[in-house]
Amino acid sequence: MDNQQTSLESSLGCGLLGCAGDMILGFLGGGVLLIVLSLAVAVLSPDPALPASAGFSDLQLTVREDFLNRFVQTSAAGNVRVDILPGGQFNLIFDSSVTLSGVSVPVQITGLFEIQLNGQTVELRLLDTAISGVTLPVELTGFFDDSLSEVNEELDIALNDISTTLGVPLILVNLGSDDATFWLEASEAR
Amino acid sequence: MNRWGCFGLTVGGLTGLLLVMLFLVWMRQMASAPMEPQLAPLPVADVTLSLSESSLSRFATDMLKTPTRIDLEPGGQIEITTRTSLGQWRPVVCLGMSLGMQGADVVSQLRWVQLGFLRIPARWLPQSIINAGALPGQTITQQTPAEFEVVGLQTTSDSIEFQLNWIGP
Repeated sequence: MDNQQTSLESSLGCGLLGCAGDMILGFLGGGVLLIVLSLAVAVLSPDPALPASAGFSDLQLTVREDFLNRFVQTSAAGNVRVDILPGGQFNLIFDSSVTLSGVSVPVQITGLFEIQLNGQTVELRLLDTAISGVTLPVELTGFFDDSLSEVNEELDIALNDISTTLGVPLILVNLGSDDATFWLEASEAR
Repeated sequence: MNRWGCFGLTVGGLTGLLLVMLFLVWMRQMASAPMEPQLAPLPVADVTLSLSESSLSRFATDMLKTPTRIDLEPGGQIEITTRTSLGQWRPVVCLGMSLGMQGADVVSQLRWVQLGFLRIPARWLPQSIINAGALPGQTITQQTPAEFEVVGLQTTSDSIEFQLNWIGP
């Protein structure tokens, strides 16, 4: 009876010892196996694929009216302000004064401009000019021509700068405005 | 080996493997825990620039000269998957990063590295790898035109949006 009891305790002891030992072995072996398998999976994995285009433009640029006002006020002499209108249009308003017979009379020159996509460039053009509310025929507004060419060149340069920074040519897909912001959307030429 | 020995061996082996599994789960949870920097609400800015995930991936591929995929998640979370050198091997690794603002700087922070199915928290990695996690934030800061400063950023599952203020020439 005593021998049977001793044999059972010995077997149980062996079992518990095996259990503890193998738990450590299982943990260490599993850990090593995991590291080796992880490395193998990582080495054998194919190169990561670029994500598919989500169906909208790759780049969207939004410019606010406040910024444009500050920008033109530092760039232009006098009191100039921008009023963005929906449909890619904006008013450029220049407040000045003229002296008539020794009397200073306030004058407001307003140019209505449209900015639109022309192929792969952004083009700014003059739609209408008014002096103190009186609309001038477009033929009489040639004084804007030089400035327009200059602005159009600067817009081209700015787009080229963005393209250079991104390291890829851009395809312009949309240009628009609401009453406070302009936006431009472009996709990468792939 | 007697009956109890076999039983002990089986139970021990299974328990050991279970512990490994639990360790893996714990490590993944620890690596995924949110970390600073957090994104602040976006201010109203002069200019907003939004770039798609595919555009960023192409940009990163060109910069690193190896196929690189960038996956964006809301809250400034970014996953960068690329092939890198590890001794004599070139495994594909996935880096989990956080992107946020710290004052006027864009900062990025490495959170974890995934190698195969092993996700290692950043705190267990060498300092040189942790420091390399700051590279995306530094690149964004360097690519920002001098006339502008970044005042905010936000990520969605498809794109990253930068808020820029004009500071003049």
